[in-house]
Amino acid sequence: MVLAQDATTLDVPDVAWSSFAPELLLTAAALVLLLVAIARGRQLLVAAPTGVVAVGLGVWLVSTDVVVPGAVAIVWGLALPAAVFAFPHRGSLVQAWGAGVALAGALVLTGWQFVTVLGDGAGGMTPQSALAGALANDGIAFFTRITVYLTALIVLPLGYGYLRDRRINRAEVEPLLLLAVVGMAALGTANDLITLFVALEVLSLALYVLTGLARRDRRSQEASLKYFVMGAVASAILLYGMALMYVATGSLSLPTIGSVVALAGTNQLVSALGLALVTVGIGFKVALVPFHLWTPDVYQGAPTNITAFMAAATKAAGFAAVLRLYLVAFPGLQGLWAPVLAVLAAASMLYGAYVALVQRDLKRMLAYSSITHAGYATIGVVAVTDAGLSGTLWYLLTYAVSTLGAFGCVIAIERRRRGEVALVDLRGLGRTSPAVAGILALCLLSLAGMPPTAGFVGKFVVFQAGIEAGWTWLVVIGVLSSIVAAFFYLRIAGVMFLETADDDRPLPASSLGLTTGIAVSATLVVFLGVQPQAFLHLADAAAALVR
Amino acid sequence: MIQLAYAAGEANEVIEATSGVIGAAWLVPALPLVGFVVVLLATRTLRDRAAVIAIAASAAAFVVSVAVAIAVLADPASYVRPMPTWIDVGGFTVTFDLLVDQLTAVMLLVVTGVGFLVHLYSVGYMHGDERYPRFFAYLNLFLASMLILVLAGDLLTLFLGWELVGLSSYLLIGFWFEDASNASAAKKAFVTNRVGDVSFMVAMFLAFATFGTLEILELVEDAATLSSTTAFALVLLLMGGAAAKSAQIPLHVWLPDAMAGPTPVSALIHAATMVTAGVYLTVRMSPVLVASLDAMTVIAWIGALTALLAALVAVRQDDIKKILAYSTVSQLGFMFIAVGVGAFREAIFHLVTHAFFKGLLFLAAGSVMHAMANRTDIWRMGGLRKVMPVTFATSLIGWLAISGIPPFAGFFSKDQILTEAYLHGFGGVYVVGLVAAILTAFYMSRWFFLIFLGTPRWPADAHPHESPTTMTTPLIILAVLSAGGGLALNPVHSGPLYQFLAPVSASVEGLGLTPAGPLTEAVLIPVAIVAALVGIATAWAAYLRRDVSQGVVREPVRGPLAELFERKFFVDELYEAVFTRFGRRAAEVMVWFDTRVIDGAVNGAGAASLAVARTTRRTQTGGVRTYVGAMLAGAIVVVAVLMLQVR
Repeated sequence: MVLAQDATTLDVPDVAWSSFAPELLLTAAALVLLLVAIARGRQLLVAAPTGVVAVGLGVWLVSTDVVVPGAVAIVWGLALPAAVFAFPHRGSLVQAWGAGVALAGALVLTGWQFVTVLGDGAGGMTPQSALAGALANDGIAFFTRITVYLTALIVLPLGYGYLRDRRINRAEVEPLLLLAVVGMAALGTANDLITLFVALEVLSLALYVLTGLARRDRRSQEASLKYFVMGAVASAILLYGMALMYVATGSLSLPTIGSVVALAGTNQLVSALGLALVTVGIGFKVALVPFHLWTPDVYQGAPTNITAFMAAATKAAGFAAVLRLYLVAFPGLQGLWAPVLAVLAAASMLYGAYVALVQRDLKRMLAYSSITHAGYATIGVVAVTDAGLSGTLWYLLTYAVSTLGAFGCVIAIERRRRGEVALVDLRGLGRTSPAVAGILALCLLSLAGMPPTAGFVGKFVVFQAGIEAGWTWLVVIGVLSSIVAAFFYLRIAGVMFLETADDDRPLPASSLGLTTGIAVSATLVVFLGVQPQAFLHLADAAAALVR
Repeated sequence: MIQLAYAAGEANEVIEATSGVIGAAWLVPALPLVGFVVVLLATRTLRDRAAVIAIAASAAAFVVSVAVAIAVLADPASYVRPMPTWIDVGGFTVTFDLLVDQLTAVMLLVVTGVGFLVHLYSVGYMHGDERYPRFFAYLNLFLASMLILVLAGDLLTLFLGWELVGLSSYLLIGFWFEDASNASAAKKAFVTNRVGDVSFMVAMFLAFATFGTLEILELVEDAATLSSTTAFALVLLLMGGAAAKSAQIPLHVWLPDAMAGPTPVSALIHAATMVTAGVYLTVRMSPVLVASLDAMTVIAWIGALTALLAALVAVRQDDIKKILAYSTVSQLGFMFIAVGVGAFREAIFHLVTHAFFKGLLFLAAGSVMHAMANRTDIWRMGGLRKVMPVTFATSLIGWLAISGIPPFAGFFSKDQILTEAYLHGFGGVYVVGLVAAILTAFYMSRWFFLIFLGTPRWPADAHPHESPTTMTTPLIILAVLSAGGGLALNPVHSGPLYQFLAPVSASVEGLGLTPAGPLTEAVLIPVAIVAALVGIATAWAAYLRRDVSQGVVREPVRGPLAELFERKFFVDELYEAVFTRFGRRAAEVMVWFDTRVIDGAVNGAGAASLAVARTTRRTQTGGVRTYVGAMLAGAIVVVAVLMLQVR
């Protein structure tokens, strides 16, 4: 077991292991949950020994004064067998609880990292380098972990009933989700090209499978295949760009590349070509125009909870890689890439907003909206300032909670409709189920950037950073695109509140998990809009990077 | 202590107030906000009792406002009520601090006063509506938002209120959404306002880039340091936001449609309070405005043109509320004339009197519609004087007030705006304003004559009757204010209101403005009165003397010019053609591009493998080939651009 290895090395006090403790926990949890699933009727056969080992490990950790990870291990070690006992014939509930407790543990561990290692006590951060520079435990890593773990933790209950209704609540869902999360968090910490690429592949492979989860649904299969084929091409381009980067600089380490790339001796032509190919590859992953074409099909075809997860978490992780690549490895080439990225951002903001205008399918509309939001987040990247960096990280968090809430409402409607959710299906929802309609409207307002929601503060902070860095034209385009975007968010709100319902329209479904997930997202949308202080400070502190 | 850069009167001292009456100012927006939440959550259980809670909330807000106003009157200063921080990131801090000064006090009284009366009026007007509680919830939300707007000590929190009033206005315009035109009017209002928001947001970014803060007191203090180009841009960007909210050309299109909402909403939001937010904003930022005389001239002309064109349209409308709607646009134009010529206090004065008489006229219109079973065509009315005595009498006062007949409120405020325009050297603006004033008297007389005087022209099945007391009481209160408000507040040019507002309105002395001609106030005042009388007399000749009472139910005067006014200068059609259709077409082209052009291009490029393509085309992965092709094409462009830069 991975956790067991953990034990053998920890007797030498080593910061390195703790620097990816959350990912270790999640990887272990993913593997154990897979084993539990394989064990079928004899789940306890897996759960009991795992529990004993985890509790033992935890006790030992606590006894060596590593209290928090120890406690997390103990809690998880007790929770798993307890879940097996509590839900003897409901394997998927065991999976969900196992994964949920693991994710909560990962969040706790992230906080523990901040308190013990990263934080300097005054709210600032001291970045740490680990594994001979392969990992950077710093601001980007920390904030990405928070966004990704939080997202996954909300997605789990959000999708539970939905997957059951569609009869695709298979045992591999949670382990795959956890592995994707591990990949995403690793992407946030990766500080050399190889680690970065491996992390990207880990998360991508898990997502390809999750997208195709609905085996009987042609669209899901199609989406999965499209995503896979195009993702493979993008990965190849990215890898080729990385190889060229290595040729030009002689190093795989991002900080080293950063210090070498702008020197007179390096081959500018090769590094420019490498940079271009990396831009294309990574542009695909975060869905910037014109590398966005996969997004609408995949978002529409994938099971909705997976779409929500992709929109919120993948975007955050992808942008973590973007930030690290451009701000750590390529700041010397700023003059080259910043204008190109700015044009891509402007194109994404306008194109996404315009095309969303004429969509009829809600998931497709939200897919185009995610393309616009990738554009907004890019403003913080091209600013190449600390304010831009923390602005982008913060923006991604606000986008994550808003989009999770919106997709949560889509799930609620879709569960009863048993099929696609078109705009007309929302008619009169404000009357028939005001709560769902109200929350959907709230999340859409947040996506449109209306105060006092999270989305407004998010947009304001990145725009602010853009203006300070002199990107006035880009910000003006951002503001303009937000008017266009307001049209289609408003259209949804209008259909819900200003049109009368057809009588035979089924009401949205509700279940404990779904309600909890939606409620948590909606609360966060309001909370981050009205009292964003705590997280803004964290984002501010996250500008501390391993360079 | 900071001394503010106002020179019109003695500068205000800035005092931090955490206790006492000013310390409780946060209650003013908080009370209706609580009312909103309570009523919304308990809609089902409260039913009709919702109104009681909502009215109590608005009444309490009014009482606190009065107390706050008295405190400011007793001890004039700029009070800052510290509140929690909203955003604090990288040296940029925004707090929810409240700013309470003379301007705030006036606005608080207008908003909560008219707001309370409209709440009261709605009890009768909305009685029996199936979403009765929700209506009151929205009214409370609006009130809270507007109060946040006027109390904000920071442009960003002001913007918060700004957006929230937009939202509540949207909800209230579309309140009777069963009628599709209401729903589309709501959307139009929202989207037009978003256009203004863009301008406002860019203005805020510019202000922050220049001053390093968005705190209003600091902005106005540092305004003198602005370079003329920055000031010009900043003022016009702010005006862009103000123009949308206050329905100035070219963003005026939403307001007349917004009248589709329930009449109390028209009175409160689209006549008395929300639409004045733009005027408030520009007056609030007046020290910034005076940094650019060019920008002020633009504002004055926007105001003048709006006043004139909207008045021309109002002349040819037949809908009882549409006339008032265009009249509102026109009157807001007068306020912007005042702002543009540097008569900031005159703008606020007109804002206040307009709130009285336009609130009154709208509520009277609602009373008439209530009596006529929601008929709105003024050609189908007439002779209502006898059946609705209270509504008639109060409307009479409103009509005289808006027409500019002394001693009613509108006379003082409008006359003083025109006088200031002339004395500050804006001769052209003065003439245009005077023409608009004549037209105002004309169309309002037409409105009044056709509804209340002459012989009845209503259909046989209409049984008009006077409205209930909850509706007539607000009418009477507003009528009293419309009659005596001007005289009481500011009968002469340096009356009590102007002295009160002096510390918060920037001085234009440094701009070197000289009168446009030799005339003095002693000449200009009679000119204004004559103008009003001319307008009234013409309307009398056209609609009362030559008797339209004899069953004439359509406008007697026709012609191409009349057609132009009637169709509102075809602005809606123009916007429809340019923006809506163009936008939709552009979006369609992009979708088409996404699905077809790329497909075609790739197919063309892969002509050699056409045979293979044909067999794989109908498979599920057909799109993938296209998409990959597009991605590669994009890649080639990016690579090419970067390589060319290195060359």
